[in-house]
Amino acid sequence: MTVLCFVETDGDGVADVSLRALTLAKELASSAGGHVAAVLFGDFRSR
Amino acid sequence: MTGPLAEHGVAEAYAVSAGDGYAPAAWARALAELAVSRAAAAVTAAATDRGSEVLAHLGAITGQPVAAGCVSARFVSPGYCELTRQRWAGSLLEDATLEATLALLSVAADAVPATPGEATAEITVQPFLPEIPDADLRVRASESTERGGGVSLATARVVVGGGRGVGGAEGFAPLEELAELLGGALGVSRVVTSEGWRPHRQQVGQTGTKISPELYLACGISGAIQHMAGCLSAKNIVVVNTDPDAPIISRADYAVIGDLSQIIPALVEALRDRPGPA
Repeated sequence: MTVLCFVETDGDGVADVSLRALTLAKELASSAGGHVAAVLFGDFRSR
Repeated sequence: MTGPLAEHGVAEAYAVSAGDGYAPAAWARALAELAVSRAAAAVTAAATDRGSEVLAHLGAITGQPVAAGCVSARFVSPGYCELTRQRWAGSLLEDATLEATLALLSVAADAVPATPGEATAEITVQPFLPEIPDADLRVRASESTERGGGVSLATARVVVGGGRGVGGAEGFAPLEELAELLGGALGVSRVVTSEGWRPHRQQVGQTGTKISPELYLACGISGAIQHMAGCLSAKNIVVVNTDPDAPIISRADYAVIGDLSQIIPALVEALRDRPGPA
């Protein structure tokens, strides 16, 4: 089971608010024995 | 970029290409496709302007309900999610059960601390190229305006706030400089945007941005309940105000009773003179 987490970025990289959203996503996924997949838009790998 | 994700236990990530710039409907379409291809049970996003907008589009595309402002959530059985979420600008918490094949949850980020989990050794990043109809690209951001040196008000660790007591548009220069010296962002009260002294994107409160910085330095702000709804998650609130009976002082960790037009420039000067990075 997968929980997707929409991750936003800011000037420093991953936005702090998205790390907080990831925390809840992990809680949700673990309740069903699943895992979290982060979803980012744009070419973030070069940052 | 992937380092913080791995520290938070993420082993899988998708890099989505869905047009140039922010396009809410296109991004939601991409999430919908990804959710189907991954057989996802839920999609979460921070309850920011973008997160809320994308989830709203995703709800419309998939026909699934959106629960906004969640502070905790867990599946109790397939398709059933028990959650607690903020209502009334965070003044009360609601326990609810969401029945959905794809649960869509926005997260009240000011109430959920970022908690690193068991770090993953390696994170796999996969490109994802969704099929986006032209209609979903009709609304998109082609350019963005400056945002106070790149520090987002919603995520800033320090916010310097200004209210009616600043006195006018020209009075914000020292506050802006102080925010910059502290590596923070400038926030304002509703009356400031209503007067046209500062743009609405800098407004803190129920009808503006909710903030949760380490330090909120509120200058010349009385502390109307609508403003406090947006800043009560600040770890420390320091107030500068001439009125010792201002409502915000009862919520402050520290208060300086005095004239901000004297205190702020003095603080700026002291920080300028401090050796090394401010």
